[in-house]
Amino acid sequence: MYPALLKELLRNRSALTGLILLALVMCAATLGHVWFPGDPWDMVGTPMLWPGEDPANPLGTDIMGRDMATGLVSGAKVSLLIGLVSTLISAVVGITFGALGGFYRGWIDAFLMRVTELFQTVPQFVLAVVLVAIFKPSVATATFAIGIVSWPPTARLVRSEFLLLREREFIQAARTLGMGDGRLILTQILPNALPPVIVIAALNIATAIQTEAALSFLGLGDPNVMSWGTIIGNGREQVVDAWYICGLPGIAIVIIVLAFSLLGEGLNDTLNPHLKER
Amino acid sequence: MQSRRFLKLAAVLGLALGVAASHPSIAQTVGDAPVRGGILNVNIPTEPVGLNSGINTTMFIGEVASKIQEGLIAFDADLQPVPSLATQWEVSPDGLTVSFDLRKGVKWHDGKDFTAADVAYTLKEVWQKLHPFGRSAFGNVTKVETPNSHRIILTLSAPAPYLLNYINAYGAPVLPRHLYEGTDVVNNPYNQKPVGTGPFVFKEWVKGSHIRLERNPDYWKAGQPFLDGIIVKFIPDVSARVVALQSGEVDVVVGNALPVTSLRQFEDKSRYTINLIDGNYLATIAFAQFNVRSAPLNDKRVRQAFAHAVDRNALLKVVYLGYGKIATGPVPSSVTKYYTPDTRQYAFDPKRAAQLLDEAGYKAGANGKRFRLRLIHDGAAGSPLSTRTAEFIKQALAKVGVDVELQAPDFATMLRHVFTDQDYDILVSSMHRLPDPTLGVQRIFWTQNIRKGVPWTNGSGYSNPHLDAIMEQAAKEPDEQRRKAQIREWQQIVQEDVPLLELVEPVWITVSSARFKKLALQADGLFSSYADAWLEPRK
Repeated sequence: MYPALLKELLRNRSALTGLILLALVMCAATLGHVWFPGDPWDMVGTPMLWPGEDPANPLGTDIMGRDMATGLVSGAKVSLLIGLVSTLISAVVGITFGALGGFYRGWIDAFLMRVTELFQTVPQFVLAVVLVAIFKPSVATATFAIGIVSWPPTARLVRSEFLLLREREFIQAARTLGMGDGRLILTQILPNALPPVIVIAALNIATAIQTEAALSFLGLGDPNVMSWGTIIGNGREQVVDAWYICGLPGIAIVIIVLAFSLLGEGLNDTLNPHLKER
Repeated sequence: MQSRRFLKLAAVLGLALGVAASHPSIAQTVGDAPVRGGILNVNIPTEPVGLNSGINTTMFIGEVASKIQEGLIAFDADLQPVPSLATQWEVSPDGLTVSFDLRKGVKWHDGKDFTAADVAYTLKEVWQKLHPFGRSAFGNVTKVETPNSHRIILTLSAPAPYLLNYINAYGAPVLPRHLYEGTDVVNNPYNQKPVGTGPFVFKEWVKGSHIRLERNPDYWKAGQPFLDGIIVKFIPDVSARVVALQSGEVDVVVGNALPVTSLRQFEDKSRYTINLIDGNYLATIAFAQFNVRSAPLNDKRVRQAFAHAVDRNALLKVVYLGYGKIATGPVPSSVTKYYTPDTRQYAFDPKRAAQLLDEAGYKAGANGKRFRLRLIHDGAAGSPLSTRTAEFIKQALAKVGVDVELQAPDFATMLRHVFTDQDYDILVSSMHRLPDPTLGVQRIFWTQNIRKGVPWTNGSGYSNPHLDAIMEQAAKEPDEQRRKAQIREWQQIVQEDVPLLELVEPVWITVSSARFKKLALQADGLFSSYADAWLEPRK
């Protein structure tokens, strides 16, 4: 199934664009330090050098003379890490809530969905800010906070899939054969419920990266880690004198968010049977 | 090209600050041909919660209330007291009696006469009871007498030589007794619509937008104020403030409301004036405070090593863009009466730092690291300069093998970590040292001021009985020369032990249109009454 899926993905224009952009960012995150080594916090040049002004700092320097390129590479790593891990957290929590609720229905479902609604009624970003502020701002708390605020849509989706699938004949058959609840959920229903979850996860990554940038912008990021949001937050005072300090990481965020959005859309096109004819 | 502009700016600044003592902005702001009329638009960063500096020392309150209410004295550009509501004052030779002659013919904005009874009431009921600094400033006052309606005599239990360095419109504003007596001062409605004796009369306060003040036609100083009125506008966003000044929507932006990084846009002297002395009264110093309660920071050599490891010249240049001075000790250089540079100084010398750390027994491990510390700062609470200073120190200490973990919690959490839980290693922040060391500096080092849970007390936990004795003596020393000597020794002890690494004396920056003029600059210009201010006509 998976090679076929990949082939179909590559034929899909938006998915292909998304994958290429993503590969670029991945390259920057994993190999970038080869070209731009060193500590992104080191003050290596004259402050506020414009990109291209000095070959030693090809993308210029910020207000404290820190190399922009080194900072952007470091930011790529942070953004990808936080995006992926927090989405993993939200997927695990969301799938657990959705699967249990959809499978067992009744009071379990009612309880789990009330909890989900509780999280849905609080604005996501505000909750993330509160969580990060309560705990000490760090990569770990930011990841955790973003994961914790973004699972409800996944839970809702998984629940609706489970409600549909549990009545299907192949499930009834498996149940008649004496298959236990755990195996039913994990081996029969979940694999069939996954495609829409993958789509929503790809979009979730994009949102998570934006949320992290917004937190850092507000000074709630990890003060020891240079992320794109940190660079933008530090540079906003100088936006008239040196727009590139905010501009470059801004472009980077646009690229990575675009990559995941396009990929999500492509996945949706290929995985959703209703859209097959498009 | 950009970098050349930056270097040029740095050079210009360097020159300007080299002669900072002679106040380069005086020539630009001070004029001698006042023009009558016109409305001055002033921007302050944040809307105040009330307009009574007598009960709340938030600067934004003082920046507005000082136009409406007055203190007994004001300060000139060198922090020397000049008459305001008091025309002259006298301290008895033993320092135990202070008397003031009050100005005659002064009227409150509601028409009632200003008398000594107003001063006596405010001193006893407001300054002594409710004012955060006043409680210690007026702590020694045991008796207040008003022999006639324009004379007031204070009797002290011990000399309080710092009194005269403090009582301006911000530190001790005089309130109208007839509106406050017998009421709950803190909740008195006149805190929102103040009645004073000052050059401007409160007219309206549109919350979220502006406060409007009008000329007081009966002001005691004949011919003043020159302006017809003042409108104080609140503009919360930094970029909006920059634009407001450029477009002429506001004429003056006070109290560091414009970040140093934006000042390049206001370099043109024909259009703008940058005034750097308005906050000398506050005498702020940015510092790195060490928690000396536990290892390794309980070792003096480690703290001295850190002092050698931080290149404060580079810090001043990179973080403060040159707007300030290197701090040489706990008393800022603007407090000219007591300041001495004759203390132990720590030149930037990473080798010496490494050597001191070795001597203290903290040798570098195989990975080049000696130990790890946490550094907490108030950057997340809206001080971008603290964030950058903290990042700078982290890099500097990394070079001598000390790993620093930055922490930037919200303001309340930071205060709790430092002053309540005492669970931190280094704090980067800044504190006002005020014009007198007994009021503003002693609190940082005094053993008795290690007070759990009280912000901005002795948070380092530093305790030195010898220094305590000197500070307590200086607090009640009536002889000016001896007091100077005591405060000099105090500075020397502190610089030897470095419980705080004093980094930079930042300047308080007022940026105004070049049309804005005054007869004289003041070291407490943030809290200037603007009676002598005017706007030159547009050219």
